[in-house]
Amino acid sequence: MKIMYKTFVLLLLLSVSRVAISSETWYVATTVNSMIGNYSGSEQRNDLFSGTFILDIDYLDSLSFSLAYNDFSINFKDLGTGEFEIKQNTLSGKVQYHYFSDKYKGTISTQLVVHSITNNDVTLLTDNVSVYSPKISYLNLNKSLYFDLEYVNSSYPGNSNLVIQQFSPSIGFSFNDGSDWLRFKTFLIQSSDKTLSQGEDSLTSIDIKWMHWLSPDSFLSINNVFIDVLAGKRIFAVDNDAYSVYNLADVQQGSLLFGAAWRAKDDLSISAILGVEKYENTSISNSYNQQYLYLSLTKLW
Amino acid sequence: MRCRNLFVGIVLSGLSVTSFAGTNVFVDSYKAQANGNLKKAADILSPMISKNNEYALMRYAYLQYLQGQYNESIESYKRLIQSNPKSIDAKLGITLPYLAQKRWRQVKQYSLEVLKLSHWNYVAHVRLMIAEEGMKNWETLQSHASQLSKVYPTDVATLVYLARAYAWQGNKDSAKSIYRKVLNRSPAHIEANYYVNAN
Repeated sequence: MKIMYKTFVLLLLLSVSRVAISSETWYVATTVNSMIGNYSGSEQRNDLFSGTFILDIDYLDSLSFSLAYNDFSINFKDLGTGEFEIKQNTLSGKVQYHYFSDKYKGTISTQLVVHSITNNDVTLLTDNVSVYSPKISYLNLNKSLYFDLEYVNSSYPGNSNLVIQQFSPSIGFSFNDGSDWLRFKTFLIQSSDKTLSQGEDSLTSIDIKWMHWLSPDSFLSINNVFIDVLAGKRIFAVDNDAYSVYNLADVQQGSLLFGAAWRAKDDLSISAILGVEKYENTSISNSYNQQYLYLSLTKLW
Repeated sequence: MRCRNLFVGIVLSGLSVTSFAGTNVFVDSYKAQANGNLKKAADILSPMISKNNEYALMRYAYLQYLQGQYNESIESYKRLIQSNPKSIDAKLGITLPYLAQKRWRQVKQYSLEVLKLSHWNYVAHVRLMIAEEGMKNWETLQSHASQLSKVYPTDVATLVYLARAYAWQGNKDSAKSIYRKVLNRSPAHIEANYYVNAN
């Protein structure tokens, strides 16, 4: 409820200030998304809720600034002291600079993302987490080839100053006359102390995403559909595309999601995702699944 | 009196030499371009550019664009716009390298600047429609092309953009109707023939 109120206030402020910020050089978009999910087979977890508000401001196609606020909660089972809830707030910022290279016939972009997380975890292990992540990427002019190199550094001061380093190179390309897009992203994650990261000090996984754009008269007017598969293991991963830091998650052992997106109007798009993620809490040898539904609404002003 | 005549003569002969030299520079540049040597065609203009010759810089910017030096071309056009903010030529010119780089927002920005100076400038409207198509702003493109087709009712390109806007919004009947109008004006139009036959 709190996140909805904050979102409403921000949207109101944005709409009031529309005249001031809207021009032919500045482009503003706001996104509200929400995720509900539950856990099956978990000895500790019941369900989760996540709500995010994102503000994107572009100066033409040269500079981009984004701010994201996420409200996240997990309900835990009675582990002897009664049911309890971990509530978490994440503030994220992203800055991008795009350079159009004639020599390389494409766009070279540099990006820096930071996340700052606070929660009510009484153990303090996952509280006050901070993340910074630089990235450099290339996209050709035809938008048919993409690759990037991303580095992520996550600090867990409440967990004996654990540091997680993540290297996430990715490559994507289009085919079928641009109607399809395939992207491979690897997650190479290293822990500074495996005793603090469920016995894992080096994990590798690969994420494969396939997107397909449909014709304008498609079923239910769907603009595009996508499937995302994660194979391998990862822990304390960071997904900057989704502004997600998996600081509260156990060892992830794969995931699968199906999504669809609609363009309701030129300035309004909607997307929906159904997904399942497999986890293991290696400390108590408990494997379980997380199922979720995600909805997102983006408005260009 | 004799001194005055001599002074005027010197000035006039100086002017004519400068003018002639400038003309020669342009002639040489045109020749180099005709021979396919774009770099030489541009380099020849350097002395004129250093004298802030607007036309020389305009031509230089265009030749940079033709050579695929889009960033340099953009910078040259920006210099022109800065020194002459009313220049429609420069504002239309800068959209060329931006179009080549598929930077639709910049194309839109400068096309709109031209339209502020000249409301129904055809080239600016067409480039704005290209930008709207590039950004997949189909509703905007539909509205824009529809208005423009009233001003330029015989124009094929405007009708094609209008038809595309309808087609991308899934409005097949309207798209087909507009493509038929395209065929009335250009019976061999490949895109219009394909769409009408396929739908």
